[in-house]
Amino acid sequence: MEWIGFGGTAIALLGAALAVGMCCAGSAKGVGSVGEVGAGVLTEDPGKFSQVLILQILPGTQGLYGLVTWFFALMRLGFFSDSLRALEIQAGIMFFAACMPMAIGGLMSAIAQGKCAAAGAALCSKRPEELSKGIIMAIMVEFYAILCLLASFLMLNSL
Amino acid sequence: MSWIEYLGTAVAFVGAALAVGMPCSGSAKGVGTVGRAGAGVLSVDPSKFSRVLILQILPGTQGLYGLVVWFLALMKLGFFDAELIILSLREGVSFFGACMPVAIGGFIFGIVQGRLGAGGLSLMTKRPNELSKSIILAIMVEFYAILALLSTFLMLNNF
Repeated sequence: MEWIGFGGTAIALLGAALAVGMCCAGSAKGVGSVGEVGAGVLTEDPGKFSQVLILQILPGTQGLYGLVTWFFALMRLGFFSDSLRALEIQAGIMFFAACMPMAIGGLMSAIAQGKCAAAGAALCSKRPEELSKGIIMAIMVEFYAILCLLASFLMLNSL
Repeated sequence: MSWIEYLGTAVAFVGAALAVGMPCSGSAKGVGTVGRAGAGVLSVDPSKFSRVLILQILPGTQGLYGLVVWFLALMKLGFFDAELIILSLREGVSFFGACMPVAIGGFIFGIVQGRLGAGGLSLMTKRPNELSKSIILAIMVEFYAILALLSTFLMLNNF
């Protein structure tokens, strides 16, 4: 069982991969659900395209946060320099754990934000002047993705 | 199997990560649910925005509790000092367990409180004067989130 003690780097890489994969999956789902409603809004009034697009972009930020976390994690692992850091298994699990807030939080918050922004698109089809209120309500969800990014970033920064 | 003796700190770290990730997911979902219902209310009467926002904020507290627990857990682990404390596997699992009430509770209460807030919105649409009653109903759930925070806090405090 000697080899297993040095499997930490692989576990850390797994965490980094999940951080980007799960966040992007959530964002794709969120952006998609706004797009579904948005297509309906546009059949009524194609002039609302820019407003729908703004709402559609909102759930897309989680994927970017995931990408930032992934990049940062790989950088801390020395992926972009000559050699990978050899981590012991405990350090690897800690790296993995540090990526988890962004992975879980990004997935869930992007889906929730997508549904919220889709309702905002429906609101904007009835009352175009109230777009800002729809955006604010969707951004309330964003806050939790930012908290998760903060937690992941601070933990990765010290490992 | 000597490496397994040092896994305690890593397991504790996973607990801290889940304590911030899961409540933030729950809060995001809850805030998103109220936002979705709120967009419908605003399409009828945009002047109710401030009241919708109050109800939307209520499920958002769980994510903040999670952040507090995460911060406390990392502080107890000596993350912000020079050296991490070394926990045996048993202590690490205890630490992980201490983080769980807020992790699980925050996730579930965030979602449940979001549904209650959305129900409160429909009450408020019909009878705008009864906003306080719908807030009280949603705060009844908050009580259990605070209990979970309390138990996690007391358990972490002993490390």
